[in-house]
Amino acid sequence: MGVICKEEIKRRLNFLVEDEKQLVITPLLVKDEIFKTGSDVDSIDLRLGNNFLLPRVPPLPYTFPSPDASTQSHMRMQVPYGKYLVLPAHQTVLGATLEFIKLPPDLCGQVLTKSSVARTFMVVETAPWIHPSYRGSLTLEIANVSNTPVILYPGRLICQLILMDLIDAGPEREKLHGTYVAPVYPEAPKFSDPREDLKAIGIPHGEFLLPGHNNQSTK
Amino acid sequence: MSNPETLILKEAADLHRFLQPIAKMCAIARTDHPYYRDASYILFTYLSGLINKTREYLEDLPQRPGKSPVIQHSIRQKLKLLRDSWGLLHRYIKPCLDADTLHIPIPLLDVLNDRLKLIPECEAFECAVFQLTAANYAMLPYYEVNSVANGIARRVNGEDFPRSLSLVGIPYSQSSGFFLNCLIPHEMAHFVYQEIMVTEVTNAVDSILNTHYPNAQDASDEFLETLSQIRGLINLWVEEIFCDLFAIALIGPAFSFAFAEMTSASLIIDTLSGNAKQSFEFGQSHPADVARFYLHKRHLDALGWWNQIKDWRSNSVDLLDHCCLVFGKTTLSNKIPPDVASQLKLQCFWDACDWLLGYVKRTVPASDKDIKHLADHYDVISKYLERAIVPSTIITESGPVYPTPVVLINSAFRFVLQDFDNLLKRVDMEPMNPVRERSWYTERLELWVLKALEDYRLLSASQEAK
Repeated sequence: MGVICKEEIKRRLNFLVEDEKQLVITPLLVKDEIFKTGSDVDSIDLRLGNNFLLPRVPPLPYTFPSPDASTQSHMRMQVPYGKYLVLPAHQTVLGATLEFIKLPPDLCGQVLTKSSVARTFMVVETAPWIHPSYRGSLTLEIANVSNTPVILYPGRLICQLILMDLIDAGPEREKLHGTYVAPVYPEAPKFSDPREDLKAIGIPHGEFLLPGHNNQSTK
Repeated sequence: MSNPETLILKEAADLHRFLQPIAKMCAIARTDHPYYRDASYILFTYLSGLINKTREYLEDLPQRPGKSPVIQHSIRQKLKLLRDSWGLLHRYIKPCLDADTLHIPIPLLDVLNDRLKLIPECEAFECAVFQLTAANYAMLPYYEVNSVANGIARRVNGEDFPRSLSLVGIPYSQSSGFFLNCLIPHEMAHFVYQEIMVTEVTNAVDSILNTHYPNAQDASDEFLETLSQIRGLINLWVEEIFCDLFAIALIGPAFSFAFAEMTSASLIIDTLSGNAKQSFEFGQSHPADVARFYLHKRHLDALGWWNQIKDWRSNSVDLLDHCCLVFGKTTLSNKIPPDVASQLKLQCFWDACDWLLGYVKRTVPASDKDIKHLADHYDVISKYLERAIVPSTIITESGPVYPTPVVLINSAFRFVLQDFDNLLKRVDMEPMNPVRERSWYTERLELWVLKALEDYRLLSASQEAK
């Protein structure tokens, strides 16, 4: 496995869509700047999109990862380009890259906080791995771990995409799959019923303890 | 019983108090989340100013009454009128406040506004959106808001309602939708019609009526009254047709397809449904749907779109063709008064439409390039969509292309009308109810298209900045 250089990224961006090795990153604003000589050869900088999911105070004193979490855990917000979002100290928000990505089956990737952003003690990604054939804007789990509020401007560079080739990738998985199909905005987490997940590994419903029910199993 | 001075004081204070929360809402909307489109900010700023002027006027009232009962009565009447007027505006303020950027199809509205501004007389036009409880689209006519606001302004020495600002209502539930929202340009066109085109069009209608009713001047008062009603009806129908044609000139056949969805018009083709009787009837405010689709097709033909879309494998295209065969079977609704119906010559309407087709074509800049680009690039765009990829940058044999909004809008319609199964075939998920699956992926498709429209504007802006 090796990191794909910018020349190869540029080459693949120009493949036709039928070509399974095509890479899509759109829109590439200020494209000349991205590929100019002297810029980083091993990554592409990505911008912050303008839709956010703000964590809500949960109705219960904890976050319970169940199917209801996707409707109860976040509040959507749109911040037009030119406006800003204040992220208070020690707070988090879900954002997404402005760019929509489609990886070919022989590439995987990683999204990392841009170093200048990281130096303000912002972390933009905690699940950074991007699987081959992924398509969608990249959801960014943005956390302000500093002691001061930070201002986020949609449209500004926030993270960098590093692509790597896969050894023995096999043929393209042509079918669309996954929990989040080609999202363009950050999407709230989707969980299955934890009782069913545990039942699949042999833990019966009767032994499932619902939070807040001290030692009382739900039968 | 309170004396008149006390009554005036109380009534002025009551209205002052009534306006207080509205002022607060407008002020908050201008300074805090959520965000709005510029047009909404223009509206909120205007309303804030008018509220301030009204409150100044009210605060000044106790100094005015004097002792004359006539003057005191007149002041109380004015207060009542002011209160009634604010009551009328009140109906629309909350629906406008609800239409923040999360609750309207922002990218679509932005590109529609851009298209509108290409017309020389419409450069300053802004369209603020409000939410409708009805599952329908509407533009607020002049008398609903503008003239009410202007009435208040005259009384309190405020400013007139912004001339270039229109208020368009969309169903509150359709904020993230794309397909149905392609009806919005029709509502924008009502504003263009009423602000700019109305005189020219009504003059043309008058001259057509004069041809069909040549001896009207010598007719009885009774007939003149009927003729006046006929004129009113035909003008209403012509305005609707103007807005349809204008919308088509703005975004192409996508408008007709959205209209077909809204009206379930495909039943017109279905002979088992008794040819959808209502669609053949000219009503009290709208012409028959069949007549509208017939004129859509003629307009699409004249603009060069028809050659491009005639071979699409879609019921919506067949519908346009079919209406050209049956438009002559249209009738008048029985809700139209019998004396009007007996004298009304539908030929006046058709003649006015003939004139209108040429008029709209001359008024709105042509989309020849978009038509050609759609022909050149649809196959590639559809391949992006069936692979669930946002088509804001497409790679063609001759290099990268950034499809224009009109191309994207019509490609999305063509895709959903004839090629949607290509997307569904690629889905590898747990089996879903087919209706649910189609609905779910239609929503996805709408998101991808709206994202592509937004990307187009960003790409254009970044090109200009360079």
